[in-house]
Amino acid sequence: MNITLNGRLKKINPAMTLRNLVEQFCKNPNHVIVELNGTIIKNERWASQEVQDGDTLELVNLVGGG
Amino acid sequence: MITKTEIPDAPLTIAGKKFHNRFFLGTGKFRSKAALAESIAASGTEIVTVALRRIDLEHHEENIVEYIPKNVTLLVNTSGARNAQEALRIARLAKASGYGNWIKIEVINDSKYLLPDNYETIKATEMLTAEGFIVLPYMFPDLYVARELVKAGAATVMPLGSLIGSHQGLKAKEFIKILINEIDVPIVVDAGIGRPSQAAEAMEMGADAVLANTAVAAAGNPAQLAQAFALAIAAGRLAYLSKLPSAQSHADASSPLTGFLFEQ
Repeated sequence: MNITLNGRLKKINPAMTLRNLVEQFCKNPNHVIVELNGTIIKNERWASQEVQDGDTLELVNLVGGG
Repeated sequence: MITKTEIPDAPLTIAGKKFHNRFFLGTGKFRSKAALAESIAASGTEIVTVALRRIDLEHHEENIVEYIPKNVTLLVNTSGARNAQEALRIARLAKASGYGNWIKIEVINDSKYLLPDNYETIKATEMLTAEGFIVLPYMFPDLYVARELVKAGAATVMPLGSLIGSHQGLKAKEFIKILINEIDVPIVVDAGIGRPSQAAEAMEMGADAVLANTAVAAAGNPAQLAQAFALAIAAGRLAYLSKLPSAQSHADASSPLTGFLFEQ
């Protein structure tokens, strides 16, 4: 299925949870903040939240800045 | 290397938190995470700014938080936000990171000068304080705007010294002085501070703290310069507390005017 991930179209396997996705794309899931279709999804819910076709996902984290 | 910059002074209190070091360090643009960690240690800073960005899915990077000691307060900036709504979105994401809810509002609409949009900053301050964030807004020193920010619940006001990353120093000096005289919340001078002497000058004027980033990150020896900043800020603060005499236009002899060996 197709999703928009960090602004880019990506093809991913069907029946993925957010946890699957974060682990696939991020080396260190501990510091990742997830926003799904404009809503922040807390860590505890990643395993139960399924990713749907057409979802927009933002995976963000804290970086150096002034 | 830890800097001892203890001077007889009350701590700087922001939203009930006490800071004994009045140097705020920005964490952007360091050539290595190790240089950042050393700069934090060498300066003894108790509060650093960070930003929020999309994860780079192509290149794995160590997370910045791993390099910041647990007792240092994280101040997440809303850089990237072009208006109050975007600042709010960033703030909510920052809060979800679990690293507290202290937010430096940075709302900028122009990439050449990176000047803060004072009006969107007021709006953002209102929106964020309503959601319980501790808000430290970065602003262009305008007295009316500073008053609105305080009214909106800002915990401090952060007027720019000069353009971000420019090393121009205290170009906005006279207008920062107005804020120091008229605004009751702490004044943290932020942006454009290129040398410790400029930071010392800001403190001598009565600023409550100084934030520097580019100067330290871009220095030949960042940790040493970070230490120099902390020392200069403590010196400037001690000077301010000592009530500096004013400049005058005529001389005032330092040695006695009587008992000269030679007839005057």
